Amino acid sequence: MTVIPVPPYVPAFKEMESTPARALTFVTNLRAVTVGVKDVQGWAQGIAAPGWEGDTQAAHDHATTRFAVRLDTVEAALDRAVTAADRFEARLLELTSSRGAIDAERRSVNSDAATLRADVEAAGDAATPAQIEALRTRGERLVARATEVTADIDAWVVRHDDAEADFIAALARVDTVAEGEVAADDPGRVDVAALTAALRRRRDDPEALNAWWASLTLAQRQALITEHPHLVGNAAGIPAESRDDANRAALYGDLDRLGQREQDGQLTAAEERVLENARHVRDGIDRFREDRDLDTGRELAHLLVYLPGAHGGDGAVALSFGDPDRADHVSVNVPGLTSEASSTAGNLDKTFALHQAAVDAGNGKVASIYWLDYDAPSGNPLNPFDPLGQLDFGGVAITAKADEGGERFGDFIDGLRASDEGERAHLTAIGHSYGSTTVGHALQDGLPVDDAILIGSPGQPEDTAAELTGADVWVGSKDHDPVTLLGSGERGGVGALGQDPAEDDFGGVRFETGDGSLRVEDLLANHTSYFEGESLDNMAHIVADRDGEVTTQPHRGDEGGEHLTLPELVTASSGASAGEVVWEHGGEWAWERGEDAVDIAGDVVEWLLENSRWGGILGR
Amino acid sequence: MTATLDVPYAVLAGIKGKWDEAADGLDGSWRRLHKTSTEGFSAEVSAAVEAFREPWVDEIKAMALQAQGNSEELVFFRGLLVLVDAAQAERVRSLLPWVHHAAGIREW
Repeated sequence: MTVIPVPPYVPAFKEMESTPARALTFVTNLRAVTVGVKDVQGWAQGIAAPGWEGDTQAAHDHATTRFAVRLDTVEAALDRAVTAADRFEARLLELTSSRGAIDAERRSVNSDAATLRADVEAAGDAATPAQIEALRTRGERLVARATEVTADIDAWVVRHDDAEADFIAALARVDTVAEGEVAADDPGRVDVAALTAALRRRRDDPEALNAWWASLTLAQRQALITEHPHLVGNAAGIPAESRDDANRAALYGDLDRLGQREQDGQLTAAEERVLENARHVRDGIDRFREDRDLDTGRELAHLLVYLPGAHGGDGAVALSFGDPDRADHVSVNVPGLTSEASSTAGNLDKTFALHQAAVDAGNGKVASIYWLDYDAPSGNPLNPFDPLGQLDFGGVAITAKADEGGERFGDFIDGLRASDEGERAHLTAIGHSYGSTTVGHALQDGLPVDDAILIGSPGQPEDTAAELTGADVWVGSKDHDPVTLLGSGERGGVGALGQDPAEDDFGGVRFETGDGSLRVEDLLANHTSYFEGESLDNMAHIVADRDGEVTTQPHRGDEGGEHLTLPELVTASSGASAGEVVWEHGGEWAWERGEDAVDIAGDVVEWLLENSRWGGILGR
Repeated sequence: MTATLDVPYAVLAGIKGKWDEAADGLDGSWRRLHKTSTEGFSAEVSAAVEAFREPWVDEIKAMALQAQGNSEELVFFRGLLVLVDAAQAERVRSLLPWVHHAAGIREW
């Protein structure tokens, strides 16, 4: 009698009740609480008796000193809890990932065992020796797999229970004020002041900062994050995950503190602006809260820059879809005119659209970043009804902001390169409108990227792509986007911001975008619609390093690349719109605006031609 | 009987604002900690989180109240700090930065 070994059914195993998403929310909240407490504690300590010393009795009588000491106890307990919660979240992420793999193998083993049983029964007594040998071999392999997966399950359950037990124990060690006092007096407590000094020394060296950060313990990192969230969150070279942790702590800390001051009617004008920007950023993040990074299990959105009071109150923000440190392809999108923290939502939508398209390109992990950490001109010079459009476009300011922005952008990219893990990521810088000029200035300074995409560009600081950078330069330029006609070229263009990169002599690759509508009321839409349709697909291919799939259109100056100049465009578009309005009076645009449509179109054209700034640019 | 404190007016007025800010900051903190949900944790973990959370909510809340009280201790009337007596002057003095801990107190 021959025995075919068939493993017993491997039963389902423990489900996870505690989820990483929940743990992340908890630790994020806890960090924000800690930031708030440390802010106050730091202030109180700064005006307390030095080193808790002085005349002991006098120091004791000093209420502010007692306040600072008491708050230090809270701080010590929160530090311990944050570290424990962060560790717990990381372990839950690992447990979730490994559970999925183990359960898949368990199901596979059970399925294969059922198939083997059926095959054995089907073979019956008539099986040949060879068939019996084959069945036995399959059985033995299955038994080995079942044994292995059972051991994996047992080990997983132990790790799971340990993770929960460790977290529970860590919290239990600081769940009374008395225990907080013990934690505060612990000689092994993290010396944040020394760490802060060490961090500041490395701030201008992203590589060194990254290496130093990696050498820290979890407790040291968490203590620094909650003590100086803005410093850590915006430091080039700190890993994206830690920057996200720090910036979220700062964000929610700001919302708590300033929200409370708002309720009390004590907000200053500057604080009001910071709170408004913080709310825009929070709203931007919240819209993507359910989107997860499939590789890490964390939220897809990573807040890499958060400076709500920067740039004269416009605020600075950078948000990544995906972890740039672990991605194969990273793109960074720099917006242009009128961009500030309050315009985060619309810009995130564009970046997210690009992210999804680049992921769909199927060439590895992708991270797509929206970066606004420069003082973009506040007004829209193409809008005659925007008074701010008058302000930022005079004299040297027109290039100075791009130049300064380019330096900051370079620092950000250097940070990404320093914190990049594994093989060097394929990195693409994208600049839209004035942002393309900003990217151009960064490229001029040696920006370490592989590709650069310039869309809706009003000009570049060098005459040729080769002079600008060693990276591949791609240009998206709709002929009916008036901003793209500002750069200097064969048919004119004043070139206040430099060379038109869509020209043949520039030497970039002009990818297909279409020309856009000729109607005057669509000219602005032409400028703001590069993250759609063929243009979006082409950018996604570039970002995902699928250059062969990019479709092109002729350069300006090449055969087939004929185009209008800006004065010709505004005149032609005015005529086109007026004609349409007259002949298609029920059309959508006219419908929405009624009889003012023709007047508005006329105003726009008149303004473009006669306004002092653009009149000068257009030579009118 | 009233008392005066030998400290520049700007210091006194400034410190009141700082205690206000401290109170607001701590208020925001304890409220966030209080609202932290335990949903999505196992029963054992939830219990531990709650056991940790409650004493620290109470403590931060108490300190927020103390900060607010400290601010309210500094009452100004017509651009002058009004102190009832030397005892109150000592209390107020202890709310100022340490560099002023020996500021003179005069009773009138």
